[in-house]
Amino acid sequence: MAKFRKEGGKASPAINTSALPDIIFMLLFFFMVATTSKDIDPMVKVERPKSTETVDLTPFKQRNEIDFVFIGKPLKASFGDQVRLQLDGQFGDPENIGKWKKVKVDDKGAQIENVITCLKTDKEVGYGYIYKVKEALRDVKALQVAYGAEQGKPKY
Amino acid sequence: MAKRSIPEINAGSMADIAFLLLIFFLVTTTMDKDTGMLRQMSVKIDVPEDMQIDVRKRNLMKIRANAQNQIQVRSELTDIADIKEKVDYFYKANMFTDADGDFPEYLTVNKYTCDTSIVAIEKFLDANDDPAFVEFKEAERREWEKRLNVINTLKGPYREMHRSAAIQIELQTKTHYEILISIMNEVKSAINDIRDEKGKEIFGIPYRTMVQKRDLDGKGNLFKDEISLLEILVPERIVELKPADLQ
Repeated sequence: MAKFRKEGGKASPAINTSALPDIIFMLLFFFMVATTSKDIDPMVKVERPKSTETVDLTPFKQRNEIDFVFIGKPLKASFGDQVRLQLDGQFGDPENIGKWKKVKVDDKGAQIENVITCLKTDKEVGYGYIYKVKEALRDVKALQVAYGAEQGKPKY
Repeated sequence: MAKRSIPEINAGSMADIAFLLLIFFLVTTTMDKDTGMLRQMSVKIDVPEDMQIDVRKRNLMKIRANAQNQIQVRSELTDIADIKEKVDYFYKANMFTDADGDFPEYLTVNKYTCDTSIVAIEKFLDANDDPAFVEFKEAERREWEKRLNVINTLKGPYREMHRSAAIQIELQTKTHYEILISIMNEVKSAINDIRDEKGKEIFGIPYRTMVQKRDLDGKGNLFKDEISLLEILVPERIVELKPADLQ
């Protein structure tokens, strides 16, 4: 019995946990490398259609040459069930997108012809609405537009 | 006295710090790659009657879609899957010889036509300084200079689709965005396939590969001239028309 002695009061860890932060750092670096910063949460439902001829817009994001707008039906029923245009954190009208775009371009200190506007549109939005948005952009010479779509084979 | 061993630094909090950073990244980023189809809109100008280019039916291919997802190409009901083949034929019909009178005309561009056009534009710009026209004509002049570059690279004249040739996409107000994307996808796919072919023929590299490499390059300078050349030889002429029933 005397052979079994209780160990001293100090709690020396049985498992060496100093490697745990290393694992967490690895996960962290993975996320830092594989992700891009999310801009705004969409207030409208956007289900993107698929296309095989899309271009990755990340380089434009990194060079700050692109703005995003959302077009779709609001997620919250209190905003109605008509298709709305979301400019940054608020809803707007297609007629006002020109003013909004000019402000965004001024903030960037760039030329309006060089800044792309990406229309992240839900797949069931009517073309008429999109055409109005495009014409409003054309009026202020924001001629470069990107149709948001997911890379993949479109369903026919 | 028994020697008191130095307590180890408690490494438990390091894990907490790492967790905090991780949660920060989890919350503020997304793995969703933003992708899209780039479209270049044209400047709005009121071109006077005498300056409008005469567009003949042979140079146009109208693709129409209604709200019931029915598609017509040149007034013939078509399946989406067949659009690509039709666009391919539209581009290739007269590319090498004048074979089909119902499809776009191809004209030979040589150094003489480029030089005379540039001279004509310069004369026009000397006589007029209405800013709307100046911009329009300057853009035209840049196009002719690009054509001169193509002639220099290819070391000879080349055949180019008529300047007014275009694929017009006409939808209705209620046509779904999805249909626009599907149609645009087919048209762009056909054009990019032809560009891939020409790229392999002239430079040994397909067009799409060049674009990928250029986009990965930070400055966007890789393959710039080659891509420019292919985009002139096989121009993407897609025009979206105003829906007829739009108020």
